Amino acid sequence: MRKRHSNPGSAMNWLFSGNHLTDEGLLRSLDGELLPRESEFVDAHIQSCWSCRSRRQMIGCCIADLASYQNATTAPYLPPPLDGRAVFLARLDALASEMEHTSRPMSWLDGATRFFRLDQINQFARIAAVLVLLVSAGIFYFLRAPTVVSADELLNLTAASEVKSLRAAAEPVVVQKLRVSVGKKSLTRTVYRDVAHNRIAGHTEASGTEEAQIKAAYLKSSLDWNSPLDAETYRRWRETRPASRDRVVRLRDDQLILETTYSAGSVIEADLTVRIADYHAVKESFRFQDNSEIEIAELSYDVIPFASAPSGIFGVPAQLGAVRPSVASMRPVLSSIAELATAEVEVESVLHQLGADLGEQINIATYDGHDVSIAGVVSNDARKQELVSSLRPIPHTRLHILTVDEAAAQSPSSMETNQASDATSQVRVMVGAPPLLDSQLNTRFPDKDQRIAYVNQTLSLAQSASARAWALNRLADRHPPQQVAALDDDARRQLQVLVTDHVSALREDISSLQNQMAEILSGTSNTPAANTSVMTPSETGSSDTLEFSDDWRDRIRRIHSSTEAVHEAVSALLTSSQPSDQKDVNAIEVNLRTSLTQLQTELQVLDQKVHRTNLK
Amino acid sequence: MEQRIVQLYDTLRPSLYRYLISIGFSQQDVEEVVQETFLRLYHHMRNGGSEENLRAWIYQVAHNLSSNFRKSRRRLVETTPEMWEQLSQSTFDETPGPEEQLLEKERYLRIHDGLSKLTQLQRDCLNLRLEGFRYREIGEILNVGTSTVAGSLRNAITKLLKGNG
Repeated sequence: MRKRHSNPGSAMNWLFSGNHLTDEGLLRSLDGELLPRESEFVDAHIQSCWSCRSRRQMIGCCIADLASYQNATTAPYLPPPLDGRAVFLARLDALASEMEHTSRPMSWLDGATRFFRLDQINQFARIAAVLVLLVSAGIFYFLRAPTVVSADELLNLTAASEVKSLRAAAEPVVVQKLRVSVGKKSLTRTVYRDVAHNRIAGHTEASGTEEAQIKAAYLKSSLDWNSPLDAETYRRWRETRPASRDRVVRLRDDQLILETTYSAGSVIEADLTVRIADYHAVKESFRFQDNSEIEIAELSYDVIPFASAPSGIFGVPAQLGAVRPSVASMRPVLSSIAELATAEVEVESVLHQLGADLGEQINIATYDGHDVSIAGVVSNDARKQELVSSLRPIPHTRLHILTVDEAAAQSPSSMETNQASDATSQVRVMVGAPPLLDSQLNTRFPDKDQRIAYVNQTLSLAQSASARAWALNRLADRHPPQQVAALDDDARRQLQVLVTDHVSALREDISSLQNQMAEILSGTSNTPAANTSVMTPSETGSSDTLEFSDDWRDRIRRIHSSTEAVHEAVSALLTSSQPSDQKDVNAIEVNLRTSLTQLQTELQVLDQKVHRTNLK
Repeated sequence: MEQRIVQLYDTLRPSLYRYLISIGFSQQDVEEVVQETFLRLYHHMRNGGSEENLRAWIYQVAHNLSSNFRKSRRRLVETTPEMWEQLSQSTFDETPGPEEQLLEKERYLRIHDGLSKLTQLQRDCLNLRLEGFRYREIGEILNVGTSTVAGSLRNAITKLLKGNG
């Protein structure tokens, strides 16, 4: 027993201190972090040494306690809530789509970078590669290729180009002359589209039989006879096909072609040709499995005022023998910036009325330049119906609101675990040191219930203020100057009401919070009167209009930041904290006072500015 | 690729979630860090990044994000007096008798007190070890050497044992 281990050799000296194993040796042994030889040696020693065996057991118990403690403190939060998964999937989709657009040039760059880093590439190969790159760059420059665009971007630009062309006339009527070819048969077709009244009419220069045969070929392929050369129709048609692959290539000096190939279905390839100069669609074609093809080529395109269109073409077909009017669904056009901006303000007003703009998981975004997208996950079906029925009448909106159950149904894998979490998520037990203002709380509220009620009320005020500030910040972010400039008077007033509402409510919250905190904070500078510095009109800035100044947005951002600071400070003072932070109590009190004072000032100025703003 | 990320997300999210909660983040902030981590993973894999030991990679990114988050938000473990009272009146699991409950509660309070006296590095090492990482992996995640990890764990356990004694 005198010597409990044979000489371990110098490589294993670190394992021993005197005749016993070191703590690190024991810990590594428990963690399986020793070399096989070291491990054998330690095991042999422990067999013979009571002291080391007992110490190893103590370390093992300490680790077991730690694991048990961690399980106990984290159990109320597990499994993670389900709604986060739905948001993640949406974010992942958005990122994937974004990266899809940028991946090609980056992968080339990455490949080139790796190539030049390889040490084994000899000097000659490097020089050759540089020359090839230079020549390629020269050719590229010579051809002056347009900026590479993705299929979706090309379709967006083409749709936008059509919208732009309609501005050429009041009450525009599009007159489009087309040559439609199916195999060896072809006809010339003139289409009139009354944009304002959603009507379409046209006539063909062909026999009735030929036209019927070509129309039959169209119908067989699910193509839209009334929307030729239309980017949106092409996009929708393409989206309904099975797995497709897009390629945008330069066709001639002045044209780009979008080629879409399909792995299944009767159509194997489709393409849309546009002019580079204005992204106007000039040709499209569809190739089928039996090698037949439909081609639509534009011969002319004009936008004329309604008054210049052939009289009665949309209403009295008998006047022109060959004219065959038909009422067709109007091709969708891109919404204008003003329409989208107005729709967004309406959406925000509805959400505000329903109290859904204070942190509820509902996102507003502009979808593809067409619609205002409102997406979110709400607690139950009643809430969903309430939101959907109020939002649906607003034009240019796209709703994607799910209940938590519906979101769960979309991701069945984690359904089971998350149902279990509902029961436990309400329970939140964490171990913490006393609140920083514990003694002040105990002195001011000796009764426990009163103390708890006071803390809950104060925290609730801070949270409410934080939610208001967040809502204001979102308004500031979603309404940059150019967007506000596009709003008409009514929409601008609506926006003004929204901002005013939030500012008034936030002022009340901050004022109440200041009174609450004054009950336990020491000193006299925290009284509302002392912190309220009334600004003179000259200090509020000279600009009177929301659209000409972004000052209100900057002010809102400062308010948001200060409110967050107040929220954090209140939480830190009234709720438990890490003991190591207790030394910061004075600093937190000072920060809280400063933030409350800043907020009073900023809110007062913002309130005055918004109220005095002349939106006309 | 997206499917793979979703698969990894579903598999690793609960443990990563628990890890972040255990280092003191609120549920809302944890979700933010977890999502950002897996979005970065997608970015990493799309750009041909190494797929060796993705679990350690994910924890490393989450750790870095949480460090930045901590600096910017100074997020603390929030416990209202109400919850605090609850601790003294309740136990963490259903042990049979009141005496066992009391002992367990005291043990947890002692561990909590002991943990609060450790350095950040020691706490990080312990938490990652509790997640099952090897010393070498912990070193990679925290960007320190394996010997530093071993030393930190040794000191942490020694301090905790002294606290128990």
